[in-house]
Amino acid sequence: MAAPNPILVLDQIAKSFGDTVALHPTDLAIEKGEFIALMGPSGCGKTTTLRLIAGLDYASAGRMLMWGADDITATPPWKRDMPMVWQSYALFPFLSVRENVEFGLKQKRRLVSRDRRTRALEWLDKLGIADLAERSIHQLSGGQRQRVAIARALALQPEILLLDEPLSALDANRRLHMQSELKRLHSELGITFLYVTHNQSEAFAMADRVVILSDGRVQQIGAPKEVYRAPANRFVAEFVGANTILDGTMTSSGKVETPMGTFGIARGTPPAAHAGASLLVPADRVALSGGASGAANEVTGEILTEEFTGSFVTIMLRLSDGTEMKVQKQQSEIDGLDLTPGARICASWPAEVGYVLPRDSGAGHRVSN
Amino acid sequence: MTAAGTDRILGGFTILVFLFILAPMVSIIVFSFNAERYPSLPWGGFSLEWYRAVLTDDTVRRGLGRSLRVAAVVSVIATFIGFATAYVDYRFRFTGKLGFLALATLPPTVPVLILGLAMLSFFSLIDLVGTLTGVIAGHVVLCSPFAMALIRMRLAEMSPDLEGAAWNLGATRWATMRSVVLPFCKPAIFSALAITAAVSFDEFMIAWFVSGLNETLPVRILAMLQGQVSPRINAIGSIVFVITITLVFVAQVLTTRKSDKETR
Repeated sequence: MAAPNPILVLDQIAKSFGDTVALHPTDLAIEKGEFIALMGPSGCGKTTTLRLIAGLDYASAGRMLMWGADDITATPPWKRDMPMVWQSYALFPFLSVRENVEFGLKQKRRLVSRDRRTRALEWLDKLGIADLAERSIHQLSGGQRQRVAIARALALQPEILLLDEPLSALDANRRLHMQSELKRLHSELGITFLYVTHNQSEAFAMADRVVILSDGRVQQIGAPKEVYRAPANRFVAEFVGANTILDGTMTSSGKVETPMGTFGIARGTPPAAHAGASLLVPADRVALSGGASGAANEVTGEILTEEFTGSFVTIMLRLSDGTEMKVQKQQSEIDGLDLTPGARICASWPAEVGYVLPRDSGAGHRVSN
Repeated sequence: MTAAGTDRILGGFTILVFLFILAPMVSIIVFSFNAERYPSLPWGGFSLEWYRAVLTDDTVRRGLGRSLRVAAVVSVIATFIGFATAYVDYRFRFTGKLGFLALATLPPTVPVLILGLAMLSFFSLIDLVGTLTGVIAGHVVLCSPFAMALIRMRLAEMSPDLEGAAWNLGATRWATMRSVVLPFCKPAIFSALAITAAVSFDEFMIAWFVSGLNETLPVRILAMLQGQVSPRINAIGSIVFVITITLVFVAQVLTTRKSDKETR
């Protein structure tokens, strides 16, 4: 993305409610046209950040700049051009579907009645609900309301669209369908999507970049693949959930010593020798075998559960120190292995996938504190 | 005892209770059409005589006119104050809010006798005694809490995101008030207008203390009763009953219709 200036920059933006800090000073540069997802567990500050950007709350400190120059920190929400899709949809129950979509065109764009109508119908059509235009809101299903909410925001043809957990009220099937639809709208329209969610698969499926927040602090910003393969700290590794985390200590020879053995590492941010270290083992890079294979990085464990998800099998092992190890395999790769709960099995991984982090990194217990 | 038997007894009891409550009103209406002078059975024949007498009585007509004028003005002012109070409660958080709400709901809990006396002594200081303005002011105090309660119930159903959504779509605070909050509260506002009009129209005690020579209809009725028991009272009672019950009915219809229609 080679835009001269980011479309929106948060410069040391912070928010407190009384004594409670909702967001510590945060920097974030959002590029024009990107799909960026803010995610984290509830109370992490993601919705606070979105509300600050929309102007629904005002920042306690810091600045917010559009196009690198235009300071909008104190601009009231009605003067900002960032329509939002609400988790509750927030449709106006006393207006028809079409009138809901026309609301912003009237209030913000000051279009005359005929133009509003044309534009509203156009957007309802793009979202496949043109036939519902004259219905009232309480006649619609959840999925239909969702589409009205999106049409209402997009009809303004903004530069930035804000989305606050828009899919959380939908059932699993419909959510997947809306995910691809949002992705399609994003690439067709070429505008910036700022998406807040607590659901990491949703964020990873759609976003160009994800921002992971915890306790009001940014933990990591990066492409989904980067966050997945190289988590910045233990919190991110746990939140992403694709790894087994083995806790141990760093040896002076640059290995991680754990109750299950001492393992080599290739990547990550190794702590000082004799400090606590966490070794991450990606679930999809573990090989299983009935007996010891003689590999350098090998542990034995007891089968806990085996779960089929499509063509993948997720196997949980319990290691000797009680740690649960997650292994993901294709069905064909585990034919012939005894996977009944309680069976003992060997798990090994190539040294180059081992990723190390300081044990006490991230979220509440930061190294810098 | 069987369940059906219990049901029948309960049903019969309910009917009895309603008969007991409604009997006086029914008898007033029935005897207002009675040709006989005294309310006794058997009926002396159908007659509109008492209605004619009432409607040609100047004191009654002026009283009715005043009562309707007062009710109209009071309903508008009280509903406006009630809306403003309810919205402040919905929108803002501030210290002393509990005290603010207690104060706003206080007037109907004060015995009207005390309220009427207090207003008499206060209004005499500011020269409002004996004026309709005084009656209106007194009734506004009494009626505003009812309007607030109705509108507050409606606002409680309004998603807290709705105003934010309007701002987000370019509506200023005033535009949001006009195009979102007021339309959302419309049913409650209309029922508040009806209820406050009904309360004001029926109110006797404050009017009796404050109105002086500008008698409202309830004050006039009592004055007539003190002089003589005439069947004209039945006719006036029927008219008042019909006006009040219509207003309450309108309010009831508006309040129930909004709740089964919108699930947000």
